[in-house]
Amino acid sequence: MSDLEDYTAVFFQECDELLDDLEDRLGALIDGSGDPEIVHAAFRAVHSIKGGADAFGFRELVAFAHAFEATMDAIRSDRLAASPEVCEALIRGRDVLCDLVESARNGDTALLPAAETMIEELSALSGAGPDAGMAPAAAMPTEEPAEPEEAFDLAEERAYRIRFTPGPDFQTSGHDPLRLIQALRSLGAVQVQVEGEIPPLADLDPDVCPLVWEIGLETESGIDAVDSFFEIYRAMAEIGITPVEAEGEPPSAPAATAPSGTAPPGRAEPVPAAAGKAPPEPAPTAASAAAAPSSAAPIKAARTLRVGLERIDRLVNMVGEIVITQAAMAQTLADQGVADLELGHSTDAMTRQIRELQESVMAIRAQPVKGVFSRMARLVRDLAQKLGKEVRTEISGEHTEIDSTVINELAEPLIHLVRNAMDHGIEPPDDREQAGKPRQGTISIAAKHRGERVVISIADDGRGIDRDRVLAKAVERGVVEPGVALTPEEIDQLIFHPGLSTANTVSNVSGRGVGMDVVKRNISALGGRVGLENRPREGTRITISLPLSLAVLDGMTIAVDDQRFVIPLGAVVESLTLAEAAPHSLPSGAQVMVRRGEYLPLLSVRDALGVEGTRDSEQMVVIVDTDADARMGLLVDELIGQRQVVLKSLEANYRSVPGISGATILSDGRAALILDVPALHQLASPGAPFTRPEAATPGSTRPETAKMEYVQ
Amino acid sequence: MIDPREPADMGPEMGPEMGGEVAQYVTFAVGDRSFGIDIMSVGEIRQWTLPTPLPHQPEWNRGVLNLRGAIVPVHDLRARLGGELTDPTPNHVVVIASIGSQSVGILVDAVSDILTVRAGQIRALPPNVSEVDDSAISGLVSTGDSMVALLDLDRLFPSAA
Repeated sequence: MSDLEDYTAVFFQECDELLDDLEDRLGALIDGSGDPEIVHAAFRAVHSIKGGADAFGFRELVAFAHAFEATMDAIRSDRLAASPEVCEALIRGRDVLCDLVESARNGDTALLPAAETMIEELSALSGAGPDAGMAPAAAMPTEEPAEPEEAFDLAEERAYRIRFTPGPDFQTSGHDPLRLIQALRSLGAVQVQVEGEIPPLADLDPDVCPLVWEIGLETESGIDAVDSFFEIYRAMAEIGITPVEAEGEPPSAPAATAPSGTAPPGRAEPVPAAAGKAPPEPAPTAASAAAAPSSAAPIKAARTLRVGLERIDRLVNMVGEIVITQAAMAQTLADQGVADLELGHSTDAMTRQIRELQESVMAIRAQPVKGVFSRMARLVRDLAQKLGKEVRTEISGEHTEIDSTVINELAEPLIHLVRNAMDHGIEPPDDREQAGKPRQGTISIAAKHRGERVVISIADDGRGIDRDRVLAKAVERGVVEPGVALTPEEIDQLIFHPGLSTANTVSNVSGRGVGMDVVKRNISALGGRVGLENRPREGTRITISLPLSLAVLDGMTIAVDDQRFVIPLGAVVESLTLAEAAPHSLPSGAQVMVRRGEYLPLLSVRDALGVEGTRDSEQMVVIVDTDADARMGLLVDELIGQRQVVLKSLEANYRSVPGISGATILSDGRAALILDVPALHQLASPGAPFTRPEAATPGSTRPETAKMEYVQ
Repeated sequence: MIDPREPADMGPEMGPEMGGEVAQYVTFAVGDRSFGIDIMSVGEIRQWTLPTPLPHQPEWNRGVLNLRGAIVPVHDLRARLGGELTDPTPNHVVVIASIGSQSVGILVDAVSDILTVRAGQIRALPPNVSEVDDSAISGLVSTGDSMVALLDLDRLFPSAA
């Protein structure tokens, strides 16, 4: 039982791979090229699923795969053109196939209604192909017609293939291959092919024949006559005689090489049919199933190993601990003033090796974003149907790799963004036409590496964000005070405001009630940032920038009183002394500084986090990016240095803490908190309405200045 | 859960033939009061070390500490039960206990004993007696000269607020 379960699990894993593969192939076909290679590969993928499903008794899966396969076969045999519409249907078919595999995995055996509809659609396609005369054949996937035998073109009544391998004493016994072949002509027409290589003269043993002959013989004589002809040679040579069947067999078929193999009597029956004219074999399943394993192999040739994530996590954790221990050791050596050169070399080498080890371990967790992206493409198709819109998905950079935990966390926000784009961005086809756009909208999903981060963007060519409407809503909700002049970019940023979700403002179709603020919060929780680019009437682009890994983080260690904190290095813009920063106090008590012509709010980490001590000891300012647009200065006592830290969650044993994104362990073994910069910014002005304090924004305010007042 | 048979003031040495399920509790002192938690939930007992304070937490949270790579909160039991903040010395101990899948550190004055009791010996809390949070005390056990209050950690330190 458990064995069967194991096999079933393997089958489903393979299904996943095959479905992925199928999706790739179908995606490649959508341009209408109908590349036979790709069609074959796609056919094989479906076929392998069908074969496996059959073996495990997933009837509904078999039924569906069969219909799918029939359509693929129609394309393969040129009875159906691989037009974009057909490919579209096939892609939808693949989605249904996914569902069926999934429900089979969950032990649900009912044939989904969607599957029945799809089967009908697919059958209609395969049956009503351009060549209507072939329609009956399309009901069953016909096997490819036997390939004409390449080596021999034997059209006579009886054909044999003889493999003749002279033994060491063939020539010493006075025989001659040439004479043998000439003598064979007495039986009928002979075609000869020679295999093997003659060694250089120096190595040539004149007594041993290095060649092997493949002889095609057409004869009216029976197998007995052929057998008796070769009888006298059997002691000195290996002779394999195979009757040539209509389908033909590869020249190296096992029977042909068997030593002194007499053709089995059963197969000695003369084969009357001419190879090329044989009708298609009515046993497609068996024949093609046999072909499937070998042909499917090259699709997934990657040598992979499936390992449970928790095992890798353990490894990642352990390596993280080693990094810390090693740092502690190096620190101890330095503290004790050990200046042994060799010891120094060893610790240096160890540092490098551990770093490399860490990178290797991280690489294990890295996964291409493809899986998530394909889900998005599918979501677009589903939603397009539901919303009556015509939308195409463009995906690029799907092979970009990021930490698997990041990928898992990414799905939710992406789904939301795609929904938003489908719902509010892309217009109905008629509206688009009126606006002078192609009826079909485009949603582009792209990923690429940029330094230590990965940038994912979701762009649509829809109507963009209606700024007037957003602003009106913001005023109505009291998020913005009436009469405040905001720049277009500021208005765009309002969609991230918790009090103002686009889901409620621009349209009510999605009705999920989850706003962009949640997307932003989720992404921020991953150490990421969300950027927005809005071109009214032309489209919207949302960019998400994420760290490659959640497990380690490059951080700047700072001190406030006797406490250490870590600021993610990705957020740090620059640092300077308090004297250089020259802060101004505002009447409200808040402090600002001017940097590169920009007013930045200053936030005392001590105040924000309630650390002891007085603010007199604050000596340094670290300028940080709170999100894509806003910066602020963090007041700290001391900068300690930069280092890579291992991220530990506070939620694992406690709960999330505002202003803190996690903790890490410093080289002295103590826990240190990692600052959540965007959240600190929010803490600094808790629940602040979107107002514009006059003191902070003198008349000549540049647009950048105002952005610091956002509550994101 | 309370056994109807009155167990009376029996010591923890009571024989197994007395009925009721046997459970063991680690008991510890906070001031002159005794508390117990199920021994199965106790992971280890550590000497007090200064934890890293967390911002914006209830007063009874003293911060977090590094427990072999895991970040574990440390709660001050005295403060949690309405008393003053403990002024910890190296003689104070932190009991690492598990609540569900989470681990917490509980700062107490000293660990006293391991108490073996039967379900029947555990008495319900008389209503309206306890000054704070009687919901966090799942029962009382008399041990001759003193009372041990058994703590319901789940209620005392609810996770993921």
